[in-house]
Amino acid sequence: MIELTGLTKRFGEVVGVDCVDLRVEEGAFVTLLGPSGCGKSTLLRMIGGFEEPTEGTISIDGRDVTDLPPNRRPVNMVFQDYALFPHMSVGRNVAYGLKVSGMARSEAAAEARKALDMVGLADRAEAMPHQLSGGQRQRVALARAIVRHPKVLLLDEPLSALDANLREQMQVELRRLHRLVGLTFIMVTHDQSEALAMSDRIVVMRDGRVVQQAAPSELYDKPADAYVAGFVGTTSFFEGEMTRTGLRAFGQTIRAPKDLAPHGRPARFGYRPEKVELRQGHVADGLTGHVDELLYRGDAVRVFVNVGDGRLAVDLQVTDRAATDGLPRPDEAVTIVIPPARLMAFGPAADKAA
Amino acid sequence: MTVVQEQVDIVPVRAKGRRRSRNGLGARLAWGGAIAAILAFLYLPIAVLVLFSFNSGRLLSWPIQGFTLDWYRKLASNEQLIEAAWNSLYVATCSTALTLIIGVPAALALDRLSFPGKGLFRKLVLLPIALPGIITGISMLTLFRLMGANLSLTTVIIGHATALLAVVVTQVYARLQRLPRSYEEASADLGASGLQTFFFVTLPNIRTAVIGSGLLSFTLSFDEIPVTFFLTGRDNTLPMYIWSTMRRGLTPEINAVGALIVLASAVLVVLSVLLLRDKPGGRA
Repeated sequence: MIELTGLTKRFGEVVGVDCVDLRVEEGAFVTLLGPSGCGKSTLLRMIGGFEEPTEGTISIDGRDVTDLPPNRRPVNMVFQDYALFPHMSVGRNVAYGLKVSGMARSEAAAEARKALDMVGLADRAEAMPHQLSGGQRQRVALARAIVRHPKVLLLDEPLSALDANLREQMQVELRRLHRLVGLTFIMVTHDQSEALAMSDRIVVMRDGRVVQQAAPSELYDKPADAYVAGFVGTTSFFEGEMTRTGLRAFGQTIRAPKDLAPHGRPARFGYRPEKVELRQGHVADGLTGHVDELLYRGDAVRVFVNVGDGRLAVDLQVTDRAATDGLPRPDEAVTIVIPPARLMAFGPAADKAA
Repeated sequence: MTVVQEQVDIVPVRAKGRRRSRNGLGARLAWGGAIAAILAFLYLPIAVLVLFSFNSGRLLSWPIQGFTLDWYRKLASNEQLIEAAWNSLYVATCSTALTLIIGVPAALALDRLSFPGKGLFRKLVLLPIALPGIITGISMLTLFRLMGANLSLTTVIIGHATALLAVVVTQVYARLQRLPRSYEEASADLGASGLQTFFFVTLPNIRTAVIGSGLLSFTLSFDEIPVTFFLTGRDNTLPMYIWSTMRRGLTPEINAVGALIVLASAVLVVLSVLLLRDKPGGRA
């Protein structure tokens, strides 16, 4: 188990990581998610030992490693640029970590082969790194990092250098490898879909702080605030006020759970565009407006609807029927029906953080 | 309609292309001439030197009188000259070793460490390359006199090393700057100590810069005169010896020495190319 306590990193006046407390359970796949500059990479580099924390401690399995240099931590890292040694063959790259700790050459080579086998590259041990494709280099970097059986594997934006097709394939591979080796994985990414797809747990960061940590589905369905709701997945926001009869917005009232937000005070609300219904014409218990524009995406269509002075989005799945029955047309009157359980509330209306 | 338009378009493009290729031929001839002129400018003097080292006549005049190896035979029995050559080799080898031992760590410090006054340190290390050899020579002579040191080949070596340090530091530093920091981080991450990282990861990746700057230092030291002039004791180096005999006139013997030095330089160049040759595909 990894435990970060009050971990802080200041670069002069700038605070990179601000008093982060975090516990990572053994064997978990945890993702640090946030936009660039949110401190997620600095946090990872502190765990790896490449940055010295200004304050706070890092412990791994109850042992304080805060002051240990990288070569004495039970942690290995997959670098964003892979950092494969260009003058060594793939096999020697993977065996390097064993060689420097004094393992006999033949034994190290055998272990390296086993690790390469795990990533499906056993036959490329003699190749030089520059002869490999991006995806293969990525796998070599993985093999090199797991060959030493670290307690924790750190992955710094591991898929950012790959093109889109390869990325999904590597997501599957990484999940498989995680299951296979049973190590604790801590990954850094700015890609929310990657985080949702791969992690057991996501830690959303912003301005050096942890905003929310939760399982992917919980994070998606119950974002802690408007920032998380806007960053993870898409959220359609609007302003309204809870009354005794329901949620009042744009002069219309819709059903909502009574305890969604404090009554009698303007607040910010939202919903996921794919979790609502779009009906033709005026329907009771919905937000009625006029279609503004449609964005066609192949598998779905995002419909923008002008409701009062606001603009809301609805995602429609494109099935054969929807395609033949015809999609709504601009200026057509439509009603958005939001299931009460799908409504999300984000505090006072003044908070325009997202 | 689009088809017609395309056909209309194709014709002028082809014509233009043909005209350009004719221009290309003229341009290529002009370039060829220019390159030949530059090469002649660079290497004609050396060709003349080598040619006249085989001239059987004593006089430097065209045409050459006949072929002889006499001057080379004379060289082989000239003890003063041979001793000077050995001195030069000794000085060049020692000063190169010294500059590498100081220069590589200095470049590492410049690139990897941050310390107060680093910018100033870098400028100060690089300054001697811009200083005329005479200034370096005089100032070191003054210093050695003050310290009461006897002038010898050792003082020459120290003088050369200070003048050449900048060569090594600039080359190695430039290479280090292009080396991703993540290599060293990955090495440390995989459990290597600082020394292991240096010898297994850093050095192999800056090796071409180290060898290249070492060879450059060696040749620069080998034919150095101004600093040597001030700092040598009774011992002579080869360029100093040549220079002193020149006062008695240009002899074919000197041409022969020159030709041998050209040969040695060529061997060095080939050696460096062989040593620096990357495996096919090159480094990342």
